[in-house]
Amino acid sequence: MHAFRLSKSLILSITLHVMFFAALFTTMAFEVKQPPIIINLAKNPGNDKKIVQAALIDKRAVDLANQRRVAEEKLQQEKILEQQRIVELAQQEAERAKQALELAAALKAQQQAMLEQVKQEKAKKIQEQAKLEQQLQMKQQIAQQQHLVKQQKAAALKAQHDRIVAEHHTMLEDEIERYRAEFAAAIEENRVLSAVFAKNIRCKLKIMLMPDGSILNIKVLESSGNVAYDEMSAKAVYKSAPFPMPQDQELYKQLREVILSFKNGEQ
Amino acid sequence: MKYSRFLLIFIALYSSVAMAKPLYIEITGGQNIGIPIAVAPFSSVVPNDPIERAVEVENISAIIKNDLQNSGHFKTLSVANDANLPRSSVDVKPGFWKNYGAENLLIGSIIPKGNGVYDVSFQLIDIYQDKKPPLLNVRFHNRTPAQFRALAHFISDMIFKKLTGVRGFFSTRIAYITVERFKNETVHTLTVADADGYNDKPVVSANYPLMSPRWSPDGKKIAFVSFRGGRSSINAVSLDTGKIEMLTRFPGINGAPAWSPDGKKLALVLSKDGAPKLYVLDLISRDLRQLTSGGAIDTEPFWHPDGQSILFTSNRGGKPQIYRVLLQTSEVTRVTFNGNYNVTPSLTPDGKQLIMLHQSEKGAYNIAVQDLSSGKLKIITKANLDESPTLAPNGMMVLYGTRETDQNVLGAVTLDGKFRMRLPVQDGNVKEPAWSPFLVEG
Repeated sequence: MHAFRLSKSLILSITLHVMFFAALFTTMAFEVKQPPIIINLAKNPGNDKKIVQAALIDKRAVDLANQRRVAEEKLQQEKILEQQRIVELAQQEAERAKQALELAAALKAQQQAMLEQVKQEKAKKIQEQAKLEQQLQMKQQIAQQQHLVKQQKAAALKAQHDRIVAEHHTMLEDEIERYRAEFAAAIEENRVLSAVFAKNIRCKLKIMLMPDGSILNIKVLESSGNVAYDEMSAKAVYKSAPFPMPQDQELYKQLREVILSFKNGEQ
Repeated sequence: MKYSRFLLIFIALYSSVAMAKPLYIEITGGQNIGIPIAVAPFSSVVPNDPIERAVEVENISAIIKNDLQNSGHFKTLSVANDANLPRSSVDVKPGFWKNYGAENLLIGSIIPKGNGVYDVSFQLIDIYQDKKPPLLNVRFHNRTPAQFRALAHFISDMIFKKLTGVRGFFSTRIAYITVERFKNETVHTLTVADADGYNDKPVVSANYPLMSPRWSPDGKKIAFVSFRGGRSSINAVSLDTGKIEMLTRFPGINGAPAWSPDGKKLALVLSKDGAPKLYVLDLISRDLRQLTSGGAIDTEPFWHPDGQSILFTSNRGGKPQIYRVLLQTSEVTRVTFNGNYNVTPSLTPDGKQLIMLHQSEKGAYNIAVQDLSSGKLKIITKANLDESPTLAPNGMMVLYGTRETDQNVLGAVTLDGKFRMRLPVQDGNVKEPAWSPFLVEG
């Protein structure tokens, strides 16, 4: 039962982990695939160019020079225009760059927001996961504790039972021992020893006792081979009756059947 | 699950109770007081003959009581002769006898049948099993008062056998020598009496010494040594006819006769060729065979119960000790090693214990028992000058001569030395007792 529960929660935990990481992976992919936005301002030309100065020499030369000058002026104009165009272009470019920058910023912000969201979601998920895990842990702990308590209870119960049984047993044993001693004392008090009988003579009798300690019957389990010795041993038992007997039925059951081994002690 | 566990517990508890083992107790102790038996006077319905009733009737129970008491194994309880005595087992009130300390009760009656004959009946009752039929319930028909004593001993034997499982010796007899000194002569008498010492009857009387009486195995003859005319001879007297037959009268010592278990041979001691040696006389063929040889004194032969060997006393080792000689090979082995003086051997019927006269370290001559398997020796008498131990045929009691206030008397002691008594034999010097074999069917 224990193993089953553990594995179930384990599976649950694993599944949740897998799902969570899967989600994490997919969200992470957005960030990684986003291309970097680069803005280059160095493309803007003409800023560093020097304006060349011209000198007039003759007509031809002046014409030439005029021509040249006109051409130069034209060129100059063209240059200015070019410059203007370049400036315009640069301005346009700047504008575009600015726009791009703004877009990039916006994108970045958006991304940031998304990231934040993902982060939050992630945190939330982690939190949830943690919560779940905590719950699971708590559940497990509770289950474990319950199990422990159960075990402890069972152990305590068993210990109690064992103690009761043992106490009962020792009590019973003590009581039995006491009665055994009393029975033996009574019989030896009443038993007549005689040197007539061989030193190594012995016999075994089985007595059944009534709840009031009187004798139900005596049976010779093992004869000594001398009927007189068996009879004399039985007589010691008859003389000792009624035997002390407890009220307790259980104890009586332990005492009702007695096997007596008679032998001649040192005389 | 919880409940199944409880169930288990209860099953375990219950089964431990249900399968209770029997209580095992070893009983080794007890009271060494003798078997308690109350002997009631035998009742008699002889209204017209109060004297006979007073003498004879009383005697039967008195003899039985004395027999049992002097066996050393009973504690007899006297019972007053009054009207409350039970006549039969059905009248017995066990409570009264239990309080009296009796385990067994003997009651009996003597019923006159006319012409001086009586029926004698008795019942031996187990006080603690009074519902069962009596242990013994016997009636003897047509007995004369002259037979009452023998009958009483016979009843004692029956009771003894019933309560101990061992054959009693009360119907056996003893022989002994008495010496009476008068003014002009000293009278030696071979006497036979009941085992209790009563009912003694002289068998042979002489003014010369008589010695060493020995019963024949059938109990019909007694061999003895006579010093008639100053010369020793071995004789046998028939108890039925009183006829004396001389068996040997060799020069020198003729002594210590001992019948073989089958009664066909007699071991004896002769010194006709020098030192006293053992011989075996065939009583039918009269062949004489020398059993031992050498210069030492060999004497006091005793037949082993199996008839194959003879125990005897010899000083061949320097001091008197007991030896054993095998009849077939004449091979001799030493039996006793305890002390410097062991003589007069006899064996219990099972051949396991040797009874002898032993000189203790203090110098006293006592009866001792040696266990032949262990070699252990036990001194069972206490006087200073005991002699001639002789065993009861059931091997339970030793009769012996002893000194008491300057007189030779007879003592009896149980084999364990616990019970000793003096036999009430007549005054005078009594010595050399010999116990008879069983004389009546047991």
